[in-house]
Amino acid sequence: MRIEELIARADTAVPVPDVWPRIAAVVAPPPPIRLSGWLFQDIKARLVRLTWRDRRAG
Amino acid sequence: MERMRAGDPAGLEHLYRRYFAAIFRFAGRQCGARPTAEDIAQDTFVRAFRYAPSHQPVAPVAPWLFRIAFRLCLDRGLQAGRCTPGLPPGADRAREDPRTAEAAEFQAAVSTALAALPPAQRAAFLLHRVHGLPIRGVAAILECPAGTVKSRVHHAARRLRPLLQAYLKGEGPCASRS
Repeated sequence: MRIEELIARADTAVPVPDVWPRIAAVVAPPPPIRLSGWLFQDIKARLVRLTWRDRRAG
Repeated sequence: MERMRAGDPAGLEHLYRRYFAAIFRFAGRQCGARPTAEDIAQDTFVRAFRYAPSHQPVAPVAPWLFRIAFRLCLDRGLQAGRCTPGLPPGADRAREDPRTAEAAEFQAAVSTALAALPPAQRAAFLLHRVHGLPIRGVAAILECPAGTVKSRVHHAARRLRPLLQAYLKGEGPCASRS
């Protein structure tokens, strides 16, 4: 048996952890920003008011 | 690799499934402690994902990953003797395994033999002979000429042979399994 085979055999006896969930959490793209219902409605209302005011102002 | 370059984590998962065990074992042999080896192996893949756009499409992936892992080992000062190198990550778990005291003895013998090598020789030997990287690839990782790598591998083998003689001759648990 060769030395490298000996080391490889010793290595394979050692359990390898699964850290993929941790890596995936780090590299995952950030989630899109979601506005809650009331906030969305509030912003929409403000935009409508602003637009209406602009129109009136000419 | 193309998918990873485009920022798709699925490409990284493919690399992870293929190379993580090798990177983890290499880091473990270089640094010893299992948690440190885990951290280094994990950081290797996180950095690979970040640096993927700078990786040349024609360049082989394995030496690139090992290079990142090796740099991380250096960055943490692990080669400066601040830890016990050569211990396989999880060797303690192997010792706890009641199956064979003989297997634990074998693990300890391999670890002690590798720990006896200078870090540069150990890295050259592991990368070339155990992980099968070409001399040129190892030279790029260790940032030294190819001739130096050959010399380090040769000297490492010469040092390891007497230390592992009992197992090489066919004694010990590995012989009975093969």
